[in-house]
Amino acid sequence: MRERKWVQEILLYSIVFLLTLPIFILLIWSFTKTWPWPDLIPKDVGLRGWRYIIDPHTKILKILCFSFFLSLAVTFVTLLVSLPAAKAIGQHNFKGKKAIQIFILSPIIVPPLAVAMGIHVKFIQMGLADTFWGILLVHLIPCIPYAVRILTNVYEALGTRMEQQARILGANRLQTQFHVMLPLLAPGLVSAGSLVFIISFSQYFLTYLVGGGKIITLSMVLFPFIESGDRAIASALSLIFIAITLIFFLLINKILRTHLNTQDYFYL
Amino acid sequence: MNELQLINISKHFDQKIVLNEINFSVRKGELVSLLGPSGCGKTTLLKIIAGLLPPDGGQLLFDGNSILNIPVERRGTVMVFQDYLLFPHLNVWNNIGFGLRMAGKGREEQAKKINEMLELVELHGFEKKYPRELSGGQKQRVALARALAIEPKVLLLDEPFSNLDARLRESMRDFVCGLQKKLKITTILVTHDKEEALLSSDRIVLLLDGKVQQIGTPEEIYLMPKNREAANFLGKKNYLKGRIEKGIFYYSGGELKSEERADGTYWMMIRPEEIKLKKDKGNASAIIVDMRFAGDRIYYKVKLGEEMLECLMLPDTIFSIGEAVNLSMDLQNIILFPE
Ligand SMILES: Nc1ncnc2c1ncn2[C@@H]1O[C@H](COP(=O)(O)OP(=O)(O)O)[C@@H](O)[C@H]1O
Ligand SMILES: [Mg+2]
Repeated sequence: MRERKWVQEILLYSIVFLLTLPIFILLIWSFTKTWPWPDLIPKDVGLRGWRYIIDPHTKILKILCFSFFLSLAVTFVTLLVSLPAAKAIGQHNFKGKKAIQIFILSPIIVPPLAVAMGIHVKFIQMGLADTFWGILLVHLIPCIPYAVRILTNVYEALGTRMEQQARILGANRLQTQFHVMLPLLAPGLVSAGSLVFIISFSQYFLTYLVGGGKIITLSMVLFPFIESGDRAIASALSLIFIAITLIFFLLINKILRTHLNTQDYFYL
Repeated sequence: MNELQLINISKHFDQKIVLNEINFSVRKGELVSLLGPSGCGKTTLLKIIAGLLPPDGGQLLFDGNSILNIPVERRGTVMVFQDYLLFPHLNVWNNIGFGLRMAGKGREEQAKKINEMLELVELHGFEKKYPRELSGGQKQRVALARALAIEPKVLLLDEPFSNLDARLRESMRDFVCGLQKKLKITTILVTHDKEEALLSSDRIVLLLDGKVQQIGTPEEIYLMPKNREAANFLGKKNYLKGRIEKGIFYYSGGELKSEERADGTYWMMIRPEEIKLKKDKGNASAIIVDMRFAGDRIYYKVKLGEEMLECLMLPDTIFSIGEAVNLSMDLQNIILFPE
């Protein structure tokens, strides 16, 4: 027994180490000017990477805020749309359910590239191209399938009995959803919300296409630096990127936990 | 006076008929048991009464008025499920107060009622605990308190004791029955356990294969079963085949007067406890074939001529397998079923 635990711990720490190693490397990179091979530790340190981010001329902080709120809005709308869909699929049987499930999941199967062009043309006609709302809508395409998928599983696991119990005790439909189902769904909402936020936050192609270069998000700022090999700035931006998603996860988790008092389980 | 009345309630799922024209009524303040084997449609019937399922046909009356069109949340019937279904995100206090909160009752009124309920189910001091921290019996009492807090007109209990271990089951049964008598709340108790039904009900509705077989007091149901199915559900029985001719019933063990019956073939039912075994005094008629010791009673299988009889005895004299015994039957409560 003791030995097994030992092995488990070594395994666990190795995994944690391997997963966090890139973050340390990013951290070192963000403080270097050059880091030529075969140096194990860079000799030229500097704050160029970080200075670039804070510099008001580059508007990085502004873009960062915009990106954050865009993804927040996408997450909110995605969950709002996905909840009823997942409820219908997870709790009820109806004709054509399989077909609808495949239809909802199709954006994961079919590459977005295939549909994005057509959508772009339509958006131009409708005046949605190059706008915040256009980007928000187009981000829903890769986000909704994941949210529906996760929440469907949660609804399936929950079943309808808790709802029935609430109704029996005098709660109307709205009260039942709000006072009973929402708290029970909270762990699933944390999981789905975090995933959707990351998908939206790291979206490059769809934002680029529909935004027409006029709407800039953090991932669009990041890509050219990675491409051109400016590692210091790219690393600093990447760290910001990771920090934002982590902050979002902790935030949504904290909010849902304290307000809804749910237990320690996640649907990942 | 009949308070709740079920008239020709039917229900089917996919091609299968689960409830077939159910008729019975429950009087004000009465505890009626719905007794039947698993899968006979007891839960389905409770759900129909509670308003969770619509019946295919039939009528449901409360004080003479149809309640079929009243939605679940306003029907005034409250159901306690087999597995309690406490809200895991709410503590005991808020679980019990759930219905009051949904009804928009004021804080003070809620607190007063919740305290009253905690008193009633003897759970003071548990207000802050969450369902996951409670034992089975405690969960059961919270579920009961939560149901009673909204002062339902009819209480529906779905196999409330089946998830508890034997000893707890007995004490919870007494507790719940005591509570029911004290509050005089109209109650339907669903169970597949005949002893539970016999011990706790004012009347029993026996449900077999989606049909009501018999309605009556526990004594009536046990002592005067209407047919063999009903009799068998209430315990093992012995049957001896015989014929009635001109008011006399002739069977392998002798004859009996039976004046009201028409001539024909009948089955005579003898309960295991009505057969007495005595030590052989030289004229033994039966042989012990099997013996099972259950502490406060002993089950015997006895061979009498061609017939195999079940027999239940107190453990005052113990016979062994193969022993020859004298057998006598108490023929006072004999029941004859036509073939
Ligand atoms: N929602 C449903 N869909 C299909 N069949 C059901 C449904 N609910 C119950 N049944 C069937 O109806 C029968 C009676 O079920 P139930 O009322 O739960 O029985 P009991 O409570 O007496 O054990 C069972 O055979 C069950 O399989
Ligand atoms: Mg049942």
